[in-house]
Amino acid sequence: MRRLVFAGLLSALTCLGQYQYDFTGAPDASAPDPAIWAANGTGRPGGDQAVQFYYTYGPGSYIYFPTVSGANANDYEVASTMDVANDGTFIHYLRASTDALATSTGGTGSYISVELYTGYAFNGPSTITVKQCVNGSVTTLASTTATGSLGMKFRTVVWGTNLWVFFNSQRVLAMTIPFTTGHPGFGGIPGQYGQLVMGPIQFGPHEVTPPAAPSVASVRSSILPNQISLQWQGVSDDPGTSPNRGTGVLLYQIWRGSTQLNSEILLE
Amino acid sequence: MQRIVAALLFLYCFLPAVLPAQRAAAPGNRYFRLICLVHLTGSGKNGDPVVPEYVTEGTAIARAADTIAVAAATPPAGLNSRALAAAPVATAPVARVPATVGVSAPMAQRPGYLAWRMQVTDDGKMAIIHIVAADRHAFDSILADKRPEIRVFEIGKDSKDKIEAELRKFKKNFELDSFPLEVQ
Repeated sequence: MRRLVFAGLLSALTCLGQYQYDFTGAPDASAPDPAIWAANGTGRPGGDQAVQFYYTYGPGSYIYFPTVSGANANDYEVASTMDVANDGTFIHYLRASTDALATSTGGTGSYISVELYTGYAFNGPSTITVKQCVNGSVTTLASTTATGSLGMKFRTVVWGTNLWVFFNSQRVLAMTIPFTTGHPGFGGIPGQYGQLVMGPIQFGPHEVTPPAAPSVASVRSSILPNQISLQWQGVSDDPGTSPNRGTGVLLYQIWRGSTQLNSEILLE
Repeated sequence: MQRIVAALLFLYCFLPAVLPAQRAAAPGNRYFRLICLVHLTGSGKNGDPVVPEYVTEGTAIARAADTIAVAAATPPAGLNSRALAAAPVATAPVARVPATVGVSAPMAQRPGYLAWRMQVTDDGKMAIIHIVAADRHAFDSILADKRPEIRVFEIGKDSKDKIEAELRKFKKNFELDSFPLEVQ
């Protein structure tokens, strides 16, 4: 009889529940506090805790100055709620210089950008493009599509050379990037007649405290000739001892000896 | 007769419950996938980003197909009250279909490249790319590329060891497992 060895929970990241951001809100787009924001291009107030990027003003960016909490200030999450999308590109800046600004044809400064082109009101798949800009020289690193919606949270998490992109809690892109230091930020590129509104904007640390391992005693199995079913007690979302409380459970991995049996996300 | 009916009724009611559950493929394993070594193009300057060969065209085909699908399914502008509520002026319609879109229409429902990512080789002159397509014909042009410096491997046909052994000649620490690409 085959025997499965349940090796436990190996990976967890900010995904669910009680994660606490350092900042939630939006700059005063007309007069951003220079102690907090480096503004490039032009955004406009977009309502309560939101910023609008409008076609008559062109692209804009707001780079966040304060040190992000956590073990490494260069590892962080950027999140924003998608309020209005009409022919334009939402942007999260990562590892950015203070003059970082992506445009429809290029960029200035240095940054990694996660650019989400939405078309009209997220109708149809959205295009996610990851770009690198080094002193104005732009390289496109990756591109994919994913289906989003108005009101969703667009999230990018970066630590070390790892970059993950989420639509709400669904991961839509995982890759590596070359930059390891720099500020987070956000911005937009409106299309020819487009506009975007995003907010509130959120910046927070990369949580490094792993959640507790599942209890081996809680694992129950059902074994058939060609199928094995496993059930276990889910682990708590927040072990509660980290200074950045709010570790989330991203996935469970199942191993048989040294072989990983699943690569898909296993969450109830 | 009653036994037969009872047996059929039993199968109708309970057979689905005992069939093996069908799981969706993992996002990192879906669709057709190539690992290729290609040239980089572009200067990085305004309007000319550095990008691997092939991917711009493949992505454009996919985006054009999405645009057509959206245009076919989108109600007339003005029906989305949330999007228009904050719009200070009327905006342009979304569906601006490129004139060349029809050329690729005979391909699958999701033609072109669904996703790609790249790593620059150690000499900075070429790129290792991971491309995903729902229709294998999206790879026709790159599979037909016979330039001697180009390498093309198909995941599922070429072994991991073969792919890594060849590409490590160009990127010393290349690992296929560290080069995943999830696609919805």
